[in-house]
Amino acid sequence: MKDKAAAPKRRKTVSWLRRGVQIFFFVLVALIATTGAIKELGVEQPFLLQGASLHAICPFGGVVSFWQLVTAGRFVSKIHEASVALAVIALVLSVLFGPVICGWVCPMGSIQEWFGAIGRKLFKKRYNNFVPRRLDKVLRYLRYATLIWVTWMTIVSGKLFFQEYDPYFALFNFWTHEVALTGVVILVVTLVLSLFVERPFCKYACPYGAFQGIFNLFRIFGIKRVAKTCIDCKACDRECPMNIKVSTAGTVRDHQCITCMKCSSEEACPVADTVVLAAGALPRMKVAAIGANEEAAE
Amino acid sequence: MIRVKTSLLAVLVVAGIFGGIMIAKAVGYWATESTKEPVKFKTGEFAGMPNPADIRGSYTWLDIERVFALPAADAAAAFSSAKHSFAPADRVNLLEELYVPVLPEDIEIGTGSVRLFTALYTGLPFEAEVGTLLPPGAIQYLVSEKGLNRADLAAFEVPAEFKTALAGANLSEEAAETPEEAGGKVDTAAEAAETGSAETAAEEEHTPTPAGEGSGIGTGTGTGTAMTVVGKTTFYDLYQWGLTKEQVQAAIGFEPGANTTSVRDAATAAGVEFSVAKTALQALLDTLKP
Repeated sequence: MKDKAAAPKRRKTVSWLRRGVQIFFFVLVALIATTGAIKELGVEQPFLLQGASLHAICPFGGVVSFWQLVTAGRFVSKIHEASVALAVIALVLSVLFGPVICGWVCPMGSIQEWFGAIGRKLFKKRYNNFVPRRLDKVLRYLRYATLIWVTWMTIVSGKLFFQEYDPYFALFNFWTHEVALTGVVILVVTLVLSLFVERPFCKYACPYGAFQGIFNLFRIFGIKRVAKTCIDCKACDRECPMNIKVSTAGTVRDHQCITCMKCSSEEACPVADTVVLAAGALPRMKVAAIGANEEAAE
Repeated sequence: MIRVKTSLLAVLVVAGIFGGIMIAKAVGYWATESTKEPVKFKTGEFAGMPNPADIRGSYTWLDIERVFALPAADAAAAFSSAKHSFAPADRVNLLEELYVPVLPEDIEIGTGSVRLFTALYTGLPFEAEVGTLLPPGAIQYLVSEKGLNRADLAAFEVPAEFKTALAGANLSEEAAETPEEAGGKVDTAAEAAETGSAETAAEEEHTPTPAGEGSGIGTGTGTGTAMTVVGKTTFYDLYQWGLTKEQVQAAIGFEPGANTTSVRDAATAAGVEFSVAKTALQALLDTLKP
């Protein structure tokens, strides 16, 4: 029968593919953050990012700078053209595939995942299921409050307001005088929480994740479940780091999806071509879509 | 239906990011650092020429050489003390680190001195703030290289009683770090000061230095910590410190800009010397200090 699970070896390769991309970007950002020290060792920066700073390569800087750029024609302090260019690139990717920046690129998301791997070993099935579902559902909207707060404060101050609270900035600057204590505390709390909850900062607090998440509502390529071949084993639900109920979806429209592909037939789903990343209607198959409330039909 | 497998998605994500960066570079929209171009005179006989008044503390002597054709090595040497020699790649705001500790409060050798020196060297107009002085080496350079009359420069000379202290001025080991040495700290001291998260700030900083060129050190006060008006102080900062818009307007004599506008930029746009606005605002702020 064709609808057999992908071979375990193949699944492992697919899993490592994303991990490889995450490691690549983590190392790249770390190199940029430590550019001076690296330069002293005689190692040149990647040619595309020469002269870049952590701020210059942060697409969220481009997002929060947008208002000042439009109204005053200049960037928020510390933000440069590169941030805006990266914000546009991320925007295009998000319209196409949803928050792939979160799932594949963001070093903060990656390090939470790596800490989460320890938690998964410690707590087995209880991992990522500690927060009561009703509370969790409400907390998931906190990141939109963060997004509004950070954007507003950046607009009125003209400064990179979030830096003092940003665990991503703290992660790559913890050895410098520039990092604020609040940022370090949030980083440490995030990493500790990652031992219990998968990607806690992404789920509950990340303003850029909130912004990216909006694109899940209308992205072109969505995670689609083929109801006809689905065996309702819930493997996709169990594997989803963001606790999305893929098993009841036609097309996943949950604002928290990070397109990590863990639920797909290339990884968790045991039936081939049943959970896929695709655009357009599935051929001759009736599909239903879920939204944030997991009810809306496509 | 168009399906994208994980392997293709991986390629698209990586190619999308780097391809996008290449496109941004190709169309000239990929700057990772601020340009160091001072504003130009808009009117008069010097229209189109760079304005020395807009030299920022984050500029290096090399930046000044590029814009004003003032030899960087010579200028750096002219501002060095007997105990500490500046390199052409040093930021000019290191002058404050070097000389502020050995001079009384009412006189200063700092970024303002560099503006003055540059103006005298190039013949461009510039009105120095009261108390802005030049070190003996700079005076000597202007006399010997530009043929200026020493008597005309007397007003900018350091009083004799401070000359010994001036010659002995030295930077701490950390403060003397070259930009390259300190590059690992990524951002500048001024950037750190903007957030109020660091103990350092280089006065007159406005634009961030490129990664790898900032020292990340300093001893000055930042906008977020000490109610001190510097080049990058915005009107938002002033309001946060307790001033009202009316007080600010009365002090500077022109309509304050948007909250996010720096006082320096607003003053420049209004045709007012920043030093004048700065002095008036600082006097106002000093009345609020406990």
